[in-house]
Amino acid sequence: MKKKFENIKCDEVQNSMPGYCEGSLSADMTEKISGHLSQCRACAAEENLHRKTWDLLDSWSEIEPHHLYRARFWEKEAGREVLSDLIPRFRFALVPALCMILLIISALLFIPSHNRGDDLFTAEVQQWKPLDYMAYIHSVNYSLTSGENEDGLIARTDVILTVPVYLDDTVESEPSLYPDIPLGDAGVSALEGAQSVITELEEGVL
Amino acid sequence: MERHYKSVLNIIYRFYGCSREEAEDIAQEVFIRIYRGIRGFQGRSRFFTWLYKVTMNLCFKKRAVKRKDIPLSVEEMAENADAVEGRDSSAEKHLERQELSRAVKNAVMALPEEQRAVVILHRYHDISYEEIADTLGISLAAVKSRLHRARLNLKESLKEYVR
Repeated sequence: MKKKFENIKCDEVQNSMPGYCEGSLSADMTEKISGHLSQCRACAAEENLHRKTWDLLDSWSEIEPHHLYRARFWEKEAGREVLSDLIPRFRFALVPALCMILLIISALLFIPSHNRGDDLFTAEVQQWKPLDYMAYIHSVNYSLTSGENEDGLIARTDVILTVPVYLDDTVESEPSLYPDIPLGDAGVSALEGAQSVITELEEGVL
Repeated sequence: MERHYKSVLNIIYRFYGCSREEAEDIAQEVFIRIYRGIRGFQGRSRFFTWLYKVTMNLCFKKRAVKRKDIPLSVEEMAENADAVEGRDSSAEKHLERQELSRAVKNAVMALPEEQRAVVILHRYHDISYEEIADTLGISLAAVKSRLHRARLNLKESLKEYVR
């Protein structure tokens, strides 16, 4: 049952109780609530509940710092000083190193996707030079002599970094190793050409 | 450092409800930041407000440590036992006190972070509304409102323990 003492209702008193207990209400409001509490048992009980709850928080006791906290602090600080001394010394090397890593990663991600199909093969195969053949042969030979497909993958990585990209794609498109990648006529003929060179190498013709 | 370390440690400890070791690690980080940034302190606010601001910022950044139901740590149990020793030697009272301590800890930890921060600063460290507003970068009205809601939440969580 809602009551009204001192021109203020129980609902309003109970809603204002946290502020009342905090002492953060206006003087006028505080006076009204105090008057109400002196006459209303329910609201007085509510006030009691608020105050006791707040007092209960003391039950969660505080902790003491570790007795070596100062020593730990200076130890940590000294460790950071060593780091902060080293970083400026090598800061000029950090940026080029990061750029190099980024370049390698983007080459690995980007290059294969641009070298599939006839168009790329046709132009590049005609311009092969002996050096390119050797690089190609090296990579293909690597995978053939090892006899394992995984090694073909290693060879591909080497080729991406060391020879023109079409060579990599030719290797990558070697049917027995990567059947899911479209090779194209030019790619097949490039591969056949390379394999014949390998054969000749093995037979000691070249 | 001597003057403020314990306060900072306990703010962190209560904000996270973590172990003393974890709280010590974060407190050390706070003081390293303070030590490194002391030249940047322009004296516009009181030193401890700045210190608490750094502490709270770090606390909010390291939210990941948060847990829901946290048992009392070994230190807490030992400290509670010490506190009880001499006043009340019965094992039953001792357990009761531990249970209460755990309930309070869980109730505080169950508060939303923004309310918990205000309660910890105000209730346990006796910091004024104005200084809390400055520390947390919020308005005075927001401080009062958060405290109001926190009190209501705590009353609900702990009503069975009030006698």
